[in-house]
Amino acid sequence: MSKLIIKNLHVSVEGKEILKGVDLELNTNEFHVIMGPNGTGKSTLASTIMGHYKYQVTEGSITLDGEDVLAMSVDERSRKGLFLCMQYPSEIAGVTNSDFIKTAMHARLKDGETLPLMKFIRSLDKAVAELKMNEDLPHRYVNEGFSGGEKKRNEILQMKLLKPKFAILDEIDSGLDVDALKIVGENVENMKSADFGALIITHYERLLSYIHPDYVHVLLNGKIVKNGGLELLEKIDSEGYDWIKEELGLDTDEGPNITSQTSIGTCGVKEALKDKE
Amino acid sequence: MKLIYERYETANPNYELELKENEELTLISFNNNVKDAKLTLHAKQQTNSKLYIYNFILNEYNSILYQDIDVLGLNTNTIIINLILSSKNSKIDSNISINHLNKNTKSLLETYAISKDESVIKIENVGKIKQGCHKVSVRQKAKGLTLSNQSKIEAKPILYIDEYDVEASHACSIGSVNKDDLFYLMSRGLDEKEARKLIVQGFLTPIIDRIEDKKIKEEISNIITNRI
Repeated sequence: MSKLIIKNLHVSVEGKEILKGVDLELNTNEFHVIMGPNGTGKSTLASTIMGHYKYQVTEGSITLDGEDVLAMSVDERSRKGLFLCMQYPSEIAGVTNSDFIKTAMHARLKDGETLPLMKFIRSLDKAVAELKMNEDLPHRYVNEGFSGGEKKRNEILQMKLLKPKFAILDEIDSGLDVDALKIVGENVENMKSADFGALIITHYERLLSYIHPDYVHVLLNGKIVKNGGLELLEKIDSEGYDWIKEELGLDTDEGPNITSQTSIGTCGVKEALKDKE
Repeated sequence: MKLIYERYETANPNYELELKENEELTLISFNNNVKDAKLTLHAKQQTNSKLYIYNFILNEYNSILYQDIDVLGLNTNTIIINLILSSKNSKIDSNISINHLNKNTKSLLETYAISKDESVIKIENVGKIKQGCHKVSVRQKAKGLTLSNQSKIEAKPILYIDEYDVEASHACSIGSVNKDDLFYLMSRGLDEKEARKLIVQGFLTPIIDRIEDKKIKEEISNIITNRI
């Protein structure tokens, strides 16, 4: 049983404050969903937990089982059990997928532990089959020439093999067709256990036909403004976010403003890639 | 097919080659830390000949690569792939020129460079097409990776074309290790040193993989892996 606690998290990108005090508590064996309109800081939250160089934490804390996550380097966070399924994973030419995953698995072995090659190959083959990926995948270069859907599945493949305590899935459903969505969703759902929990960022309810969340949070203007269960999800799906803004007395005109602020960050990338997918 | 594998021990190997009609030749040159080395090569290619050259330079000392190919015959193919790794204070110059003097001839010239410490790599790739040489295809590429702030890579991809009915392309990109790639690898638990090593290896592997001779490939690959 592990615990990831985010307290009063403030995050800036290039001097602009995106997150303005986020509080969140995750336990293993729990799936949390974060919803919110474009540009409210969902991806910022995901990248900050993993330690992306672009995001500066100006206030607040993140702890994993009491340990200060913000004091850890990116690779330490990974080895301690955090995993970020990225929206736009890098393409690493010349490095085969299996070499990369093997190196990553080696990196988390404790002193004296070994990873026998046959055991590695068997677990890789099994995960590739469970994700219904092409068999040639292990021999292809990391994400190079992969379709949008293949990249997402490759993220899930790594997650399955690296067995993190907490995974942050940053819009893992974008660019997936219906069949791929089902495969990805079911694979994530099957990982839920006393040793695994997830923070799922999504725009669509569709993914949640396969992944069953325990908690739903709404992120608006850099803060979590609403916590609830599945009923919240259904209401957002049918009515959007305006009712929350009204309920909280938030100026709805602020919306587009904020979108343009965060577009410097990941959302700019998203806009640029939209045409390709 | 003839194969020449030159792991030079002497500082100044010099080649004068003439490929006769239908002749095929592969030349692999490997300069592993030879001090002040200069490799010179002049080659002439006759009709239907094929010339494949792979130059590997791993050096912490100055060195020069100078190669000049005259394509005299018809329907020839010329492929030159260079891999240069420089370190310490070394200056490495690579000058390669392929002169297309006949019709329907093809060439590919690619140079990959990695500079460390305070080293400097200068690349000059030249492709020439003479007037009247229809259906010539010339492709050039230069790719550079600088691993320190003090190291430098300069590339000049040059094309002199005096004929309309040809295909030609040149590309050049030089940069340091991409920060997002580094973040990606580190987010899977690799420390920075390991992540950088993997990126450099990834840069090199596709080039080494082009060598068909398994024994030579293994030897070069081992030496290069040990060096990075």
